[in-house]
Amino acid sequence: MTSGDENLVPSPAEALLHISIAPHLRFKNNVPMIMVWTLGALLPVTIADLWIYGIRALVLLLAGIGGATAAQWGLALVRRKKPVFRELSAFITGILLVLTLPLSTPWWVVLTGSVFAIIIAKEAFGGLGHNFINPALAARIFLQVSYPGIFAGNGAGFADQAPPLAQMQDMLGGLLWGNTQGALGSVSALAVVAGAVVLWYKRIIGFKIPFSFIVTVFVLFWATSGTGDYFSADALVVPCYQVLSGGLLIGALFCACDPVTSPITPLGKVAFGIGCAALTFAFRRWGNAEASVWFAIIFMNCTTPLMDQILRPRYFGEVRKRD
Amino acid sequence: MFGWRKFRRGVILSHYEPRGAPSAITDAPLPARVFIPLLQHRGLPAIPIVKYGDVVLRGQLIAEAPLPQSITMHAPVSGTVSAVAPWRHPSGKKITAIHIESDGRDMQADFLPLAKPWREAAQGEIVQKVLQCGIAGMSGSGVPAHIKLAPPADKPIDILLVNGLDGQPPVQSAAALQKLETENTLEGALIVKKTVAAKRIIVAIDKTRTEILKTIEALRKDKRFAEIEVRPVSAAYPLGEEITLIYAMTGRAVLTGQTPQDLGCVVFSTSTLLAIFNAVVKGQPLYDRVVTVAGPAIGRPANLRVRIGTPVAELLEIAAVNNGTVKKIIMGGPMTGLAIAERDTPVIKTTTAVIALDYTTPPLLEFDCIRCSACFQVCPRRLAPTVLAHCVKNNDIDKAAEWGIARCCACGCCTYVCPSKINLAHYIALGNYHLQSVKQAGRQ
Repeated sequence: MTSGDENLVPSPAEALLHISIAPHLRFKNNVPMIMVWTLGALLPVTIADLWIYGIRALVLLLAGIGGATAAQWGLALVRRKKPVFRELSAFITGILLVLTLPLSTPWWVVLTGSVFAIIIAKEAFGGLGHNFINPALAARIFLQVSYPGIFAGNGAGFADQAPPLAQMQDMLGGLLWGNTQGALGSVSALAVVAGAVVLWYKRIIGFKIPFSFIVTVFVLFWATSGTGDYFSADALVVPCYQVLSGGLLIGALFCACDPVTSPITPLGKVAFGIGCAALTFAFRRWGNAEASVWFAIIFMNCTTPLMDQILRPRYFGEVRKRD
Repeated sequence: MFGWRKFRRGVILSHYEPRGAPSAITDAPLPARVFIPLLQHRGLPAIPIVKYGDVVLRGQLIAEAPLPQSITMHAPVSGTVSAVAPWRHPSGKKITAIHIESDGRDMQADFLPLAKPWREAAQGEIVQKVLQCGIAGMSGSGVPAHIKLAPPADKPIDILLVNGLDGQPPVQSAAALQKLETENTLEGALIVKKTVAAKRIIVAIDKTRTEILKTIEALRKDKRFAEIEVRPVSAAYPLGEEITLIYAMTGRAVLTGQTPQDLGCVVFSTSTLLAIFNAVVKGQPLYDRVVTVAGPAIGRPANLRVRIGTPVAELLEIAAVNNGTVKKIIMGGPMTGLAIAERDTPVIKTTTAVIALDYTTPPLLEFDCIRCSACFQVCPRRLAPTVLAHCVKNNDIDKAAEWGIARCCACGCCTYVCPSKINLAHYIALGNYHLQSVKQAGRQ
């Protein structure tokens, strides 16, 4: 057993040993698992859509998923690489894109959007992990700009102005389940939140971004609701309505939390959420309310690297030199 | 003010069986041949004073330490020196070692304890005795103990921190020794407290080792040990790392460029304290230690008391290693240990465990970083490993230095949690290596 230097051939009992650098343990999570869980979290909303809208929603979903997957595969073939698990992230992009569109969108528009999302917004910048803006939202903006007729006056999100207070109150219950106005994703707030809670429990999305986003939107609308008495039921209707409608929950819980395009530093995440919320508020109040959430998130995505650099926390024992 | 802070970072390693009572220590049989490398510590190699053909006894001095960063080496068995030649070392390099063929009789040289009881001895005498007995940090750090026992006069020590944690799950050697010789370990702590003139002793023990905690509480009723403060801590990794432990136990942060002594702390592990006790009270030099042999490819995991220099193959044989399935053998814990290539690598003074794995960790196939920030959340030094790895891949050492790459403690938590299986610890180590090379080139 204690071999001298002359014994170079290992006996059958002693196979060659592997060497690798420490650590020699890995936790059991991996990226395909994260994708699968995200798809699972989107399942409640998808089922709600199919239940309430029926075949039409199915057609759109298939167009979105099909377009994204075909684009991903096609590009991988062109590059002569085997597409691995990345097809799952194409699924997610396709579904998210469809959730931001109204039911009346033609299927070929959805297809165009999803192909744009994968090829231009994601693969052109380096693929998974290298995109700087959320691909689904980039496609949504592209469609907004290229086919404005689809969204105008269609109640997507909601039209230029918020409906009157009384109507808002009636709509509140519907927004939780069975809202047929607006984007496909705002069909049921409960379904969206249920999926997001599961993701949070599995530690795939964090707490900071959704919380800061939603709470800031709520606070901003509450402070400016204009009803005088802040604690009356009336004063709470506007912020609740604003939070539950217009795809804000889909945006805050799924799109803004996309790990690739949001900051990694804790303060950066909070600032990201607050920034998205402030921009959403600004767009809804003074600008085009249609795609307020999506524009806000895209805007903040562009500032992510800056946030990471400026809001870098002090590492343990760092002595920061002040110039 | 010096509160006990909860250690919120790091990871809980769930791979192995839950902790509890460590298994009893069994003595390994006498090895036929031992190899004593001259570098088993952090510092400069020892100088051998024996040559081919010399007959030695157990405990006899075989290598001196004239240089300040060095420790002495002693023969762990009685026998004949068969060579003073390079031999395999756990670090992967070949280092000059003293090869001794045992004569099977295990005869002991004379041990010389301190002339007076340690309570009356001077600091210099105790430090000299520890130096003569060749004691280095036994939980893996390898820092020569006599250096830590003689802090400079302008840096007085007020807290002696005793690290009773094993660190990584299958390793149990420290706990097994604590269970067997609790009183002697505590007395070793008192010896060190007197030597460095500390004012407090704080002992951190894994809180799942309830028997050991009960024994210590019983001992604290004795007025000798009444001043020792015991803190049961949860088994998060890497709480046992020096700077992390100091911060968690005392709230003192060792900043960049500082050492624990600057903050008045000195940290010793319980195994080292026991060795110091044996040296001062019994005159016994360091020639054996307790090693945990465990892992999926081991049939009978055990805590073995082995002589320093025993080839690892003998330990594996005692613990019934499964030769058909074993793929990797690690010396140390599974998070920071070194994988060895040859089974005749000897056990050295800083080897806490030998782990046999039946799987290999994923090869360099990595997926892209998805910026999930898991590595950032677990890093005990609050670094952003993904950013650092990115900088290293792009050769941007300046940005890496700005983001704190030099503060990495090489615990491996980032690599453990990464879902893309990127070997972040490796990239950061590479970056630190480049940084050191640049600094050294700058000095020349």
